[in-house]
Amino acid sequence: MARPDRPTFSVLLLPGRRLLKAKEGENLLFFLVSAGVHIPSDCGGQGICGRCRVRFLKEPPPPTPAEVRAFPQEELKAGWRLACQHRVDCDLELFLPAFGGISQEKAKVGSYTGPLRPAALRQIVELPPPSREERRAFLERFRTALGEEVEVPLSILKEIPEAMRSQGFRVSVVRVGGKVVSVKPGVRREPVCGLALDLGTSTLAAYLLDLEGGKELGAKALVNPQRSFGADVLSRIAYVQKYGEEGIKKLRERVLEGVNELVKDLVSEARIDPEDIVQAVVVGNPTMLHLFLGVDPTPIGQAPFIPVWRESLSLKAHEVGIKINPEALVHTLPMVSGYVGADTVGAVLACGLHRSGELALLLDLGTNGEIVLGNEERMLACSAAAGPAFEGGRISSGMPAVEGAISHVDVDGEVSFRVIGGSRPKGLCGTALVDLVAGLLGAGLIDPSGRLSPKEENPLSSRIRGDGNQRGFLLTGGIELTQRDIRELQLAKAAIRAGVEVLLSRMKVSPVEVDRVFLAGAFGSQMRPKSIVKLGLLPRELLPRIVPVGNAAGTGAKLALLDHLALSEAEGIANRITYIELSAERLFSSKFVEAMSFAAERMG
Amino acid sequence: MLEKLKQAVLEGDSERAAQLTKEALEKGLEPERILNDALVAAMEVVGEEYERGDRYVPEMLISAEAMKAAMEVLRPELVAAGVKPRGKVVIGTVEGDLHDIGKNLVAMMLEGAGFEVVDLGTEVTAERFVQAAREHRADIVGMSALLTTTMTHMPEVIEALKREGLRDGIKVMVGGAPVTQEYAERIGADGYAPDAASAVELAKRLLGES
Repeated sequence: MARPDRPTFSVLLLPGRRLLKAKEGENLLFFLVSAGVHIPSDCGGQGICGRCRVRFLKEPPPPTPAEVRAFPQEELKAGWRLACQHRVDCDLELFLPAFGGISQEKAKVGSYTGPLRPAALRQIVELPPPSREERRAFLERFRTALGEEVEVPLSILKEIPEAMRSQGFRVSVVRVGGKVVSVKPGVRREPVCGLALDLGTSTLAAYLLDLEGGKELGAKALVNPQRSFGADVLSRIAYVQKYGEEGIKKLRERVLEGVNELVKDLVSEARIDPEDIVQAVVVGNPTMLHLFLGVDPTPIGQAPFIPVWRESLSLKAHEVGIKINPEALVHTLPMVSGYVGADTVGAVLACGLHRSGELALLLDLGTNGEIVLGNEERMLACSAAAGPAFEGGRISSGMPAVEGAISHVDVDGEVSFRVIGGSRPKGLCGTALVDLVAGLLGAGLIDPSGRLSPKEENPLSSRIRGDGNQRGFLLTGGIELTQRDIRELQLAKAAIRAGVEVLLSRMKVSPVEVDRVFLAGAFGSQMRPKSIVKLGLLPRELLPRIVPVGNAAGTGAKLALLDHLALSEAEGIANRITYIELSAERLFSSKFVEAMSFAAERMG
Repeated sequence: MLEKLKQAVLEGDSERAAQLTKEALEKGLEPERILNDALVAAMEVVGEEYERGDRYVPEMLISAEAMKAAMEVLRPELVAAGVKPRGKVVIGTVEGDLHDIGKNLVAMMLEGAGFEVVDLGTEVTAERFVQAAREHRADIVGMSALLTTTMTHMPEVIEALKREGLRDGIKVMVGGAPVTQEYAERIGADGYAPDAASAVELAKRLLGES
């Protein structure tokens, strides 16, 4: 016998008075997330991160231990709770705090100067009209006129007769390589456009390109809507482990939603038709690519960390679910391993490590830090789990690099700082954290072991208050750097530095032999090189060789659109990179521990 | 003498720690006294300093290494004198997890507190945990997981211990970045420790001491 339907309850959301219906027993966080409510959660609903805050306006449930840790007593009394800790078992009225957007800094418009030979091109062809002598089928005439063997999908085949007849047998054909994507009557002037997508764990970035002119028509970025399922790829994989097919489906829907929102904004601002986008190139870390295509990422979550596929894929927009020309080709760049993905391959393509005699180090810093060391002869890569500290996560006053975040700090007798958007400071983002710790190290207020230690002769010492792990350096009203924050940063930087050391040692080179350092990633390229070496994130010798390159992964995707040879080049890069699994590496452990301290002279 | 040995461990001077241990034995000091009054005492200070935020992982490891060097010298004498360890701990990282820095630190700190530690290494399956627990007559099974995706193997080990009828005589402690007190309770572990210093306190508590 079928079970009677579970009762439903109403959930009223404020501000905005949105009314939702929830089934009894649904987890409140996952219910809100699947209803499309933007609510942050770094741990994916495990009650650890304390970010999915909601206020129960009517009869708050008794607080759980996780909530007692996350909120001061007054807030608990006022009804503040963590959504992940409760199930819906009565009608609810909830207040949701505003969840900040993202600055558009990740996606900047640039211009392209390389060779312009896109796979996508438009041809205007004139076809012989049918007659007593010309009795070949429409498609046969069409193919002959194009002069090459082309693939014509069914949807285009259906359009061919009308397109051929209506404008005197003259048609505009757009093809990507050997695949016909659109056929329209007459001579058309619409642009031939490409879409470059960079699917990051925390940010999605999209770029719209005019492939005939090699011009960028627009760039957009937004917070990855999957953020609600956890800040790192592992918590998203854990979600799939828990919810199976349903979980994959939900995560895929989320990222597609984000991508399609970006596409919508890009086409409306550039005033083009989504149909004019005939090709897309997608980069991203392996887990994001799996989720984007709805492929089970769980093998990546456990040793030996293997992806389901590695090579570049050539798919159709309608099967992927991107709302552009349904017949548009969607290429994903190849991956190297479960943790070195198409984004890294894209970044190598953009920085040209594989084409140069110079020995270069590429560091793409995001939630994970991907590191590549090499040149035209040989390339090594690894991925170091830096954790969320560089993005402001698990830092007491930490926040992402959005408006109100302190972005840079100078410690020079006095302390001064810059705030994104110039408003009142609300917290520290990763770059500021790095600056501040580097500055305090320089001032001797943090000792080489990472301990905050006041110095009598330094007047800034009066800003250090509290005891033990509660000890903190007061930057400005309400914003403090605690001893624990410094420890988090020590872990993050040690992971990256140890990864660098392992690659140097495998390549049998010393830091002085590295000719260039490319710093990529939204966060990485905003960091001050001086602070980077002060912290010991990179060896001191490399300071003069550091070049910030912005979102190199996204640039790689754009290159693959503008130059069809770059796509096969990417395949070659992925095959030539040797992947080093750090967690299986003895040297990594010892370097990791060594690199936790700030005593640079001990590194070698 | 013992005070000097304690200092050597605190400063992380392995060579001196081993040398002083040798000298103390030659002088006829009881091995058990050397263990408790110098080595265990030093590691207690290390634990306290860590808790206060004055010491961090590298400084903790250096002392643990020095303690280990001293133990190499002392261990045969302890065995010969029939000194019983505080308890036996079987420890490892769970299936699918290769990350062992934290686990190694816990193992060393436990040793430094007078426990006998059987380290099974990384990617330890439930079967191997059970087998080792039985073979070594463990008092405690310690599991570590650094990934959200691998900590789900912890309840499997607890289930396996139950199935084999070993669970009643063994305490289970868990740790690792994604693990929490609540998670430990949910899967039916006996205790959770957020770091190596508290892991020692927990192990003592689980065996009914302090």
